[in-house]
Amino acid sequence: MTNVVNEDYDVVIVGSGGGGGMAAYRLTSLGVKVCLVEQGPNQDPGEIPMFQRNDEAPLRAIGTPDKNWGYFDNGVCGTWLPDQPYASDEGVDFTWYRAQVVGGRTNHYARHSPRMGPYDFIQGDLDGLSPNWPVTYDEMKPYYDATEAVVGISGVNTGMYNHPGTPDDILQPPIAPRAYELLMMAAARKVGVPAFQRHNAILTRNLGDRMACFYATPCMRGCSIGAAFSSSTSLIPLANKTGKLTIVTRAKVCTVETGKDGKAIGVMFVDTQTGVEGRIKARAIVLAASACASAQILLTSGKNGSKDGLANSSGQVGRNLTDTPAVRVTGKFASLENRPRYDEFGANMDHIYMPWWGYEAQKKGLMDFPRGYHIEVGQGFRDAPELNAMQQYSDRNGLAFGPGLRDEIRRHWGSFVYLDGRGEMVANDKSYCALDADLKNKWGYPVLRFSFEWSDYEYNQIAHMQETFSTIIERAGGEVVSGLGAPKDVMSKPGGMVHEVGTTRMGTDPDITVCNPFGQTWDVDNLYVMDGGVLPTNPHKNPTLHIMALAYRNSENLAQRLKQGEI
Amino acid sequence: MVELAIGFMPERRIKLSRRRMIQLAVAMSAMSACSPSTETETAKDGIAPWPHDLHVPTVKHPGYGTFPDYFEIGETGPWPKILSEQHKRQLEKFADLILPATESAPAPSVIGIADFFDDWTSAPYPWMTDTRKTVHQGFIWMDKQADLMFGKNWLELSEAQASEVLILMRDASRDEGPLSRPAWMYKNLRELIIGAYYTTEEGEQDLGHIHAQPITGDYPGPTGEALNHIRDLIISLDLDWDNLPIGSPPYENYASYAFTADEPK
Ligand SMILES: Cc1cc2nc3c(=O)[nH]c(=O)nc-3n(C[C@H](O)[C@H](O)[C@H](O)COP(=O)(O)OP(=O)(O)OC[C@H]3O[C@@H](n4cnc5c(N)ncnc54)[C@H](O)[C@@H]3O)c2cc1C
Ligand code: SF4
Repeated sequence: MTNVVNEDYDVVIVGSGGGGGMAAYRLTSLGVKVCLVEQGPNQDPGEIPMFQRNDEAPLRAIGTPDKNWGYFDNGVCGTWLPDQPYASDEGVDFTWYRAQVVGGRTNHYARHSPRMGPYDFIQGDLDGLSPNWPVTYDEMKPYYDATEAVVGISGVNTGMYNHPGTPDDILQPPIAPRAYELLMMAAARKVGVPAFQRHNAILTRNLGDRMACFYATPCMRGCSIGAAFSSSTSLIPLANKTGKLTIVTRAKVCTVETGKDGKAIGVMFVDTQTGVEGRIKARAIVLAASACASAQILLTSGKNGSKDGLANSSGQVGRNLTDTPAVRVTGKFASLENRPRYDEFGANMDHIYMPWWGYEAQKKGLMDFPRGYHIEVGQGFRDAPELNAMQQYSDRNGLAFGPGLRDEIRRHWGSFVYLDGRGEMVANDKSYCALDADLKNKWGYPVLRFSFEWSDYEYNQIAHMQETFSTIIERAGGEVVSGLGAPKDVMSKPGGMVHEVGTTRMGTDPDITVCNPFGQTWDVDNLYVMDGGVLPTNPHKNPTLHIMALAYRNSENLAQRLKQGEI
Repeated sequence: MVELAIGFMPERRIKLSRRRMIQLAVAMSAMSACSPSTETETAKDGIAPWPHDLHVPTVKHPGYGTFPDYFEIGETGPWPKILSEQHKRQLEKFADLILPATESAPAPSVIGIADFFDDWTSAPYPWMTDTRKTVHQGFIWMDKQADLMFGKNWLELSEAQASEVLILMRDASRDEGPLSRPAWMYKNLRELIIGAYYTTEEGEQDLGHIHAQPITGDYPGPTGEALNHIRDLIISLDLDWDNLPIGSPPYENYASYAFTADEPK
């Protein structure tokens, strides 16, 4: 990596994940000269351990403090990055799960890619609980189309209200449901919950240089053949082809530097291996380091260390932090014990889901929580056995040993199915990140402290999930074995769903938002944010597709302004 | 000849005969029981005391880091291996009682359970550090308990005698009483043995798990017997089979299911 980057660029992008990768792709394809700065190393897609067995790794490849999601998990990821600590308020156990590698967290995300619908963009207006999005679905539709065309989406269109489909010429065929997925689909449908094959960012047909899935290797490790979308295999190679992209790796951006006129002039970074500082200049800066990391950079970039930070005249940088409230309810099915074996792996990720259906009931006040959720479905004998997941099968009959235990484990293998709820959280005053007064990272820069609270909106939603999931499991002939109990005890931890967004939200009112409707900060004309931070709300529809569609759109705005000499 | 790695001095290895090794281990356990820092506890009601104060080797290794090599993990793995041969034999005996071999499936000792524990108990992370403590203190306890029950150490017990020790540990309370630590030891080692066993190819085979192999074309979903099974089940539950998407697309029954959720008025 280069410490001093002398060349002048049109745009410096900080972070190469979903938002940064899409910005790099779109800007370079419009002829803009881009320098992409990433704190992590590059990873050659050919070097992904797709076929390695878990027993070839230390500790059977289970998660450790070094690699939270397992030895082979792609992404140099974890909550614990030794050089970059963070703090949480007392009693708040915030999980800030970060990636540091080219591709960011898209290298190993679960690829669920539902679109937001028209209602999601205006719901704030209707229930008064959050600001509207500064764009409508109709305005975003062409960008969803364009984004999906490059990302590659397989699945079916549900035809349901507020679940817009993908045009036929873009949408690739769906993946056949597995046996337990068919059972859960049938049971859900019977109790009035819709169930369909879901939209996955996984190719079932070749797309450009990327190949269709061969249905055999864990997608969370990454996908050398590019069937599973990730920024590193699917966007950055395209951006590279334009000849307009420079990538600087292992460079952690600490601050955005500004000139006398208040405009951004470049970024200051440290080489994570040597600690040496460097600078890169550009006409415009795009922050896409992920929602909280970009907020951290802004807060650290304050004039003379002012605690207010840069682009924060609204005081909203770091505020409005939301994550996805979630709960897992697991069913045990006697009818699935000893069932006939077949290759249940498929495309590794879920093939089906249950979209939210309660808009009308909520509007009529029939539900005690304001926003929707969707249901994901997992387990069976989809994944190869994992060391720390065998107790379910071995401990049904106490802690037996000896002859007979093998039969017992074999009998239960594949007879559990879980339903995962993924809800929408309403932003509240108590959930935010700010700079910690004392704690510093390895290079002496301040780090984040998290405050977080779920409210009754989320607790009530979790209770509704528990009831609904129990109904579906029981209708399918199963018995609920875990996931019930007080929502606050069984639901996900703050940050646990890795869907943190909102910390630099965009909108039409500069007093309560950080960015304008194009992701440009209100205060600094040539500074944009293009990661999850700009999402004004956090619809339960997983965030990455929206982050990328906005980055696509907002990059066009930036390119145009550069071209017109406005910047 | 066997090799004994003295736990807390991993770099020092001495060659010993098996008999000498057992003598040494017994001596070491006696040593720890009598060490001045330990309150000398004696067996009560036929239950050996847990050697709480027994020194457990510490591991000073930074871990494999956030960007380990996925392909060149090496024969020896990321950290020096420090599990003694004695502990390996003791663990093998434990493991082979948990999951005894059958006609079609090998015993854990045959498929490298000792190597698994060597890797595991030599690792620097918290879970593994706990296991290292369990192994070091626990097998001292097991030897003493075996001695109280049968006048032999753990490795000398017959299968039936060893099973009796495991049953004692299995059925004891983990919450309280003199056997709570042995009860935890049983639960924890059993979990690791099962987890380590079924993550091998032999283990998968014993489960009947079909490890996915790359295919060209669409994923077919359940076929043959598996498809018949799920269809019969769905129909027997009085659920609708005919509108489900079965197998690879396209689906002829595609339009036979729709869900109407109207725009909220
Ligand atoms: C297990 C898992 C499953 C998921 N499943 C789904 C799913 O099914 N669907 C979905 O939509 N979303 C899913 N997500 C969430 C998804 O990964 C994120 O929403 C998405 O990656 C966010 O994109 P981003 O560009 O904001 O940030 P990231 O992808 O995190 O990218 C940020 C990049 O910036 C770099 N960076 C950070 N700070 C700096 C700095 N100071 N200087 C330089 N570089 C920096 C990072 O190293 C990283 O590469 C999942 C996440 C996880 C962990
Ligand atoms: S299952 Fe398919 S999409 Fe997933 S990593 Fe393997 S080839 Fe890629």
